[in-house]
Amino acid sequence: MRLFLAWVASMVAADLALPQATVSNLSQILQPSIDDIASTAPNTPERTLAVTRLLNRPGLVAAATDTEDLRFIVEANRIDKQVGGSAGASGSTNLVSSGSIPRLLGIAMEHGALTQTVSGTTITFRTNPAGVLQALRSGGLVSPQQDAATRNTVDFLQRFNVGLTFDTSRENDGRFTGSYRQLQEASTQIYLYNRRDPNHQKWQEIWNEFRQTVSTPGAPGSQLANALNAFGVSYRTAAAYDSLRQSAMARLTSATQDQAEITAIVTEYVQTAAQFVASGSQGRDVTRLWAQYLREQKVVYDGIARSPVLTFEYVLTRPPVQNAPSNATTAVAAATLPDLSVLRLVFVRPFIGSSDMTLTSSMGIFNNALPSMRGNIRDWQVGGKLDFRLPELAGRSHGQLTFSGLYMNLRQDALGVPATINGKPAGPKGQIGFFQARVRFPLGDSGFSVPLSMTVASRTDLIDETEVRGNIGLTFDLDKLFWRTTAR
Amino acid sequence: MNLLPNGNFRVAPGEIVNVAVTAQNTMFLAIFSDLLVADWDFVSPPQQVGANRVREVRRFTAPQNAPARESFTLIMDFIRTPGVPIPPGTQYIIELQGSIGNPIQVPVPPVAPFPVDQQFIFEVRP
Repeated sequence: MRLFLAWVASMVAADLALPQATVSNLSQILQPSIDDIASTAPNTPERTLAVTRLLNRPGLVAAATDTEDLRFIVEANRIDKQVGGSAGASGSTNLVSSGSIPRLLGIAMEHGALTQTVSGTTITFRTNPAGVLQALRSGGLVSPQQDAATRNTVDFLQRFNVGLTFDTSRENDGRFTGSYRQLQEASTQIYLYNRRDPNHQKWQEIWNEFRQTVSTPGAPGSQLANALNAFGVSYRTAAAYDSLRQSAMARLTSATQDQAEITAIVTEYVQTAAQFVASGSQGRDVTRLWAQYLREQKVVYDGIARSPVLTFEYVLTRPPVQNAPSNATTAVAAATLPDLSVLRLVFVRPFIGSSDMTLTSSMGIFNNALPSMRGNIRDWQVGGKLDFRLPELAGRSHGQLTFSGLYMNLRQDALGVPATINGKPAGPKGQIGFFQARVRFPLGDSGFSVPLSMTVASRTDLIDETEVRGNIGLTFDLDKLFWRTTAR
Repeated sequence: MNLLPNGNFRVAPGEIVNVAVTAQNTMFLAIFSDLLVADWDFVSPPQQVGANRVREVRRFTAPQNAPARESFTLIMDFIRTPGVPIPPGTQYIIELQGSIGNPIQVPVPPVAPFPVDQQFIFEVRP
């Protein structure tokens, strides 16, 4: 865990301390074309096609004028996730599960106590079988198939997500090993109803309307196409352009698949071509209209992203280990504590304005009932959450304000048998109510954010009276971090 | 019509050029620019031409005077699903067919940033 933190800290320090090391917007714009060329062998028809496509894109040359609109264009070309343990994981600041699902392996590290006094550090991994399949395809391990049966299988697999949560405090040295001992929780999520896929057939009419709207004369799409055309003619008809293009074509066609070599040639080409444009404002007009088109499109994406979702979750929770660190000693009966299965339904839909509402209901069932227990059912819960999007902070990302409430009817001891933690009864049966207010502040575009929360609970396992507690956490979105450093 | 070393197309004065853009395995989100000089002679609305294929066809006539230049740009967008890579085989295919010469096909895969733009310049030469 220390090594991991040091690695993350070094990446952050490198990004913050050396501005010239930050990947420019232009580099991020050009990178996919560079990858497209580098993915082909030199002096092949595929290479020639890829190079020709790049040379025929006036938008890339316009990007070399490097305006503020480029930042939005870059952001809009990146396309919701809950990064954090489930509500039951130790140290979680998320009280009620959302129905959203992360893109890549997301690593969340949070520190703090919610309903228990056992301190721990959790790391959560979530993945999607369809995403794994696509990754295998990208790596050439699985041949891409486009038949209807394969597409249907992929569509079905996209409904599932699997997560694993490890608690490093289960090892005496706190080091993350990924062992079964450290496995605190395994979960799977299934979409019962989800139309948030912009490619879903349901939205075809919406996209048709979008296209018709933006392609009418004077609309952003038409204006962008016309501006690109005029801009392209402006530099492609310059006296020196033909020799520039022929040189770039020859060099790129024969270049090795080395990223640095191709990057240098492509960057030189777009920057030189941009200088051929008669008017300096033409390129800026293109990027301005480009950003305008993407803003129109974002409205459609945002509307689709807020359609209702119904999700079923199954979570397997393993009980605390009996020889945990001294700050979390547990005195339990000699019998092995049973694993707990939680079945949860989550419904998400828009609330008022840009806010979202989440409703959950769940039931906890012990996998096996010990003789002293009252059957297998441990508890049932109902909860609700309201998420409000905060205004942009300093022109950067939006923060989020969340209000959550949860009612739990604990029909028997939380661990299945009477247990004590630090001399206090742990999770005796009864009724529990929680309320939480949480605000998340993004730290610019770095991928870091800081959640602050306040929780009011009718009881905790260690204190008999009502308790108010605050938590602070730090969330890393590796997707954003990797995107910044690799310019994808 | 034929391809020149500078990436432009050579057309004869008054040559009729047909342009077709087909969306394959993606929703049709292609937008044509206006022509630089003339107007489009023919514009067909996007039509389904097969499973997961939608096509729009246009036609223009090259200027009668030479030397001259004509041009248009296509912007083509791909709908993205958050967290899901664009499936293989998703692309636009642009086909150019002049009165003279063989048709030219230009595949356009989903290479960000979106929308993808492709410009075509035609040099009118006798």
